[in-house]
Amino acid sequence: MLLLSIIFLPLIAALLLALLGGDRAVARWIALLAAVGTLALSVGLFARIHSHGSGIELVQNRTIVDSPVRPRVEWRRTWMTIGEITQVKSIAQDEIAAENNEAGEAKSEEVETVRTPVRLEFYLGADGISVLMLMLTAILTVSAVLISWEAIQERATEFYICLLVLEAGMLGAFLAFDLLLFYVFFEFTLIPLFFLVGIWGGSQRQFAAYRFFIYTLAGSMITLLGLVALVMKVMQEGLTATPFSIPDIAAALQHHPLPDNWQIGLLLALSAGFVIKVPLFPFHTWLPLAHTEAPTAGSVLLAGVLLKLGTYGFLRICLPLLPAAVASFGVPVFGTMAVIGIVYGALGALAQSDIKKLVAYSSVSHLGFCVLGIFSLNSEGITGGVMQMINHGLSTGALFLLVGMVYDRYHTRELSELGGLATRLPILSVCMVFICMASAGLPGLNGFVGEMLALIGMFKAKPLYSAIGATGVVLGAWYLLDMLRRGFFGPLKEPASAHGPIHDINIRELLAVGPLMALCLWIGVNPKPWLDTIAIDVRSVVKLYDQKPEVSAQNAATDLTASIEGTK
Amino acid sequence: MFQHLTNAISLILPEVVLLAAAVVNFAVGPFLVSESGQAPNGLRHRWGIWSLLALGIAGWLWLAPVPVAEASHLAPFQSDALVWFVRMVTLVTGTVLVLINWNQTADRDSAESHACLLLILAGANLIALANDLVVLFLALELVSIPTYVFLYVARRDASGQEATLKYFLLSVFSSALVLYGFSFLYGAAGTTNLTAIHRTLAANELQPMPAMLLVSITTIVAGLAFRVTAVPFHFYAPDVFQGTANSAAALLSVVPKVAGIVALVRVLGQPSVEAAIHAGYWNIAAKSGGMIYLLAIATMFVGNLLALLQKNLRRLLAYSSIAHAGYMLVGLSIAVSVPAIGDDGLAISTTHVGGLPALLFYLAVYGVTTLGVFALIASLSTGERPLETTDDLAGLSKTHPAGAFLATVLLFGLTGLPPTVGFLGKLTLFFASWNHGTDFGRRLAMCLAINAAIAAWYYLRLIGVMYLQPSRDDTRRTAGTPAFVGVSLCAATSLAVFFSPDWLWQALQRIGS
Repeated sequence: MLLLSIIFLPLIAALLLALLGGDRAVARWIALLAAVGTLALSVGLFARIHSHGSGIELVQNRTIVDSPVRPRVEWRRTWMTIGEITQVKSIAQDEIAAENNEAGEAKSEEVETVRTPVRLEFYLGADGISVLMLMLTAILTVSAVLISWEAIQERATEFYICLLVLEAGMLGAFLAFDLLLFYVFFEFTLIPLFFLVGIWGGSQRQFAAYRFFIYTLAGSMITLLGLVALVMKVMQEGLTATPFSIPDIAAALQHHPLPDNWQIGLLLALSAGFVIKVPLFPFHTWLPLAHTEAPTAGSVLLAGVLLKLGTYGFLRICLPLLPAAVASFGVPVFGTMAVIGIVYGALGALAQSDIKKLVAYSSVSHLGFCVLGIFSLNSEGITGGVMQMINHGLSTGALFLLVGMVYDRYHTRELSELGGLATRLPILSVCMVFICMASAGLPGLNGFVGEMLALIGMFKAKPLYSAIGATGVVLGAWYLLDMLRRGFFGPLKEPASAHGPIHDINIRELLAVGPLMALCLWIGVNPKPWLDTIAIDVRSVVKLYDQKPEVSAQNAATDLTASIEGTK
Repeated sequence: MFQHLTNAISLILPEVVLLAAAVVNFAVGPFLVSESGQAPNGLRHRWGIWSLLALGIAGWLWLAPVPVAEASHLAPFQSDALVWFVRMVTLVTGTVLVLINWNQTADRDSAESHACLLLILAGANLIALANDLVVLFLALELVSIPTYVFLYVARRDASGQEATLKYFLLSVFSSALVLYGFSFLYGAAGTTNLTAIHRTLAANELQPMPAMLLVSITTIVAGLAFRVTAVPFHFYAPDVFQGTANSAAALLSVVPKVAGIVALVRVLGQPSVEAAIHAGYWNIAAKSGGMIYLLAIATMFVGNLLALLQKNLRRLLAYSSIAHAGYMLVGLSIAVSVPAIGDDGLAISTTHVGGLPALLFYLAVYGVTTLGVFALIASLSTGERPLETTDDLAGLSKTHPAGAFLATVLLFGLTGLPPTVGFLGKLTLFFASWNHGTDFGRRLAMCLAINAAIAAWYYLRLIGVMYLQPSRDDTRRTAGTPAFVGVSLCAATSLAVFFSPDWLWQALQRIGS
């Protein structure tokens, strides 16, 4: 029920807003309450999972104990009985033998066909990875509501409705453990985001909204086709009676893997939607425009959470279900794309004069680290990839918030028109420097943990990718520091065009960005509790790829914590 | 003889109610209108309520348990799960159509207009009931002929007349084609009874296949493809939709498709697996599979690509309805062609995601969503502020927020996005085509995916116009109540069935299994 209420709280709040239709003052308070409430619920879920440690006591279904994907809390209801699966089973052997002795009949006739209904399910669950993503989504939504407080003047009620519906969609995607249900939420998030970008975006908002929607939809249609083909194949092989449930299907495929050529075909189809969503080079072209044109809250959620749906999809669907194809085909292909993305994104960011566009390109680069980590296929790398998902959400979310604050004050984001803001906006500049350091991967802050683990993981698997990827860290420091130098230090330069009196960051804005900064520091200084949360989930996936006795993720985490403390 | 007749009547009670109500309209209607054509104000409300009452009684009879057809199966009517389904579809779409038509006709024409609508709905049901080529043809005409009158009554200006005439001529031509095909079928099988025809063919008594059966199948499919608006028999649809009234376009977008698809399902029957294994075997269904496959692909692509270019709303919806006809034909070509056969001589597809349930599910889904869009246009369109072109929709989110929201739900439904039932419609079609196990099925699934992505563009553009573009005139629009009730009904259904589709899907799986 907790799982259900996490999705429904923002939805109910959105419905309430739609029915009451109140003005801006009421709408934003309701939205804030709902967002904070959802955050509280997801922290509650985290506490519940954390207190149960490694156990899966909360799950009744025992068949998935051995599965590479193991939700630790679950809630299942039948959605649609799509058809029947016919499994041919021999009747108990000794009975047949007894009959044969008497009648001498042929043995092969004595089989029983078992018909089991095949169901789509509302199958919600949570494991360590998804609960972290839930908390990230919830906290970024609170920030998104706070940053829109004054910025959104027109059609504010509708704005908060879209924001809350988007939140529900993202939370649902992270909670879904049914293949189709995941796809439903994955696809559904397009709708509110289309309106967020299209109505409240910048000057090219309509073009950006259409382009982002159609581009993403076209990719996800191929993913849907892949899902259908995967489920049908599993059904025809008679592997499991619940071919839509990710844990069950993963458990079945673990022992009866699909033929290699099928795996590669399915991986190609499934990943079509994910590579566009992440986005990996060369499918990133929709991203800079959509990020730049979206309102600040939209950019925060788009960069902070929605891009993670792609990497989460790789992690949740491709890795556990298609191990052979991922190892033989996925690693070189997606690894290469990720490495190119890291370098290309960083160079792209270096060339920008619009701060928001710079941050958008930096996302392409940072998401490359996530993918690199995930496709290293060992516990260090995947742990790093997941941590990088969280870290990028926090730091890029905060960067977009800060850029939004600068834009609210000066109505420009052009670096050529700004300079020396540190003297005019000291506190905001402190935040900016802090977040840039976190984003650039300064040891002691969160970016370092994720990037290091991802690179270490990849170095163990494919040193070359890791070596090229590491240049992204240097380039990242370069473009971020360059942005700081041009925009925030040096002699004061303010745009000539009219703008109101400039005040430094206020309490509300500080409340939006402060918690994110605190988390950046916390994860950087003490990553262990976070790494522990995901350790078992990572380990169960890695088991598929690792035949030899492995250093468990938890040990790796401990080693890393020690090494970080050593560097300090 | 009398026993025979009462048995037959008991099978078609809901249709008898609809026909009787229509007869009352025709008989009483003229007396309520003066000789100069003056009608008391608000007469249309009375006829509207009368139609809803007739549909209500028919619905009550529909809920009663289905009487079992005669054991001989040689009666003119048959009653099975398909009939149950078609009745449900016509009752629901009929109710929405009555609501759309409510304020679209003048008071003096309302009796005839509503009567025609009831006749058309009864005709659609009879197509499903027909177990005989003659009854089937009569039922098809019971749909067509009142449609001509309905089109004419709905809009009488020059463009309306042109549309009516165009529809009349091509419809008559297609009826003749169907009849011609039926005559060949009768010539080959020696009987007009459908059960008997299918039984004869299944027993493999006609060996080798008579060449004239091929002619027969081709003309029947071509003739019925007019009703379904399959490419290349679609060309009348955009002109007729644009030229006629909203209520008539709404009718044409759904009822002829139901009629054509159901008639095709009845005549073509289902493929037998033996036909694929034994070289000598053949049957009508399997022979038509390739033809319908080509029609499906052409229809999807032509419909969607041309819809991208349209500015006029009804014309755009005409091309959208053509594209959706293509999706339905995907289901039909899966339903009639032989699935992949495993080494054990059984179909590889072990599940029951057949083409037929998927096709019928999609038919219902499409009917509800597209009627909702037409109802919205009918409801918000007024003489001074018509909704004719896509630009007229600009800023609808300000001038009528509730309408814009419902339209968005329906348009996302047509796109096939969750959380609307349109998603499940596309999904089941994907399943059915992939489950078929052949390259043929997989190619259809891929074409479907490409087309779903193309279609997203023009539906999204409509939503974009409503929400992202400013209105030319910011005063609020008022919605016509009956049609708006129809819109709400359709949108609510398309959301509700998404969350609990099982009752419908389970019922559909019983058909033909």
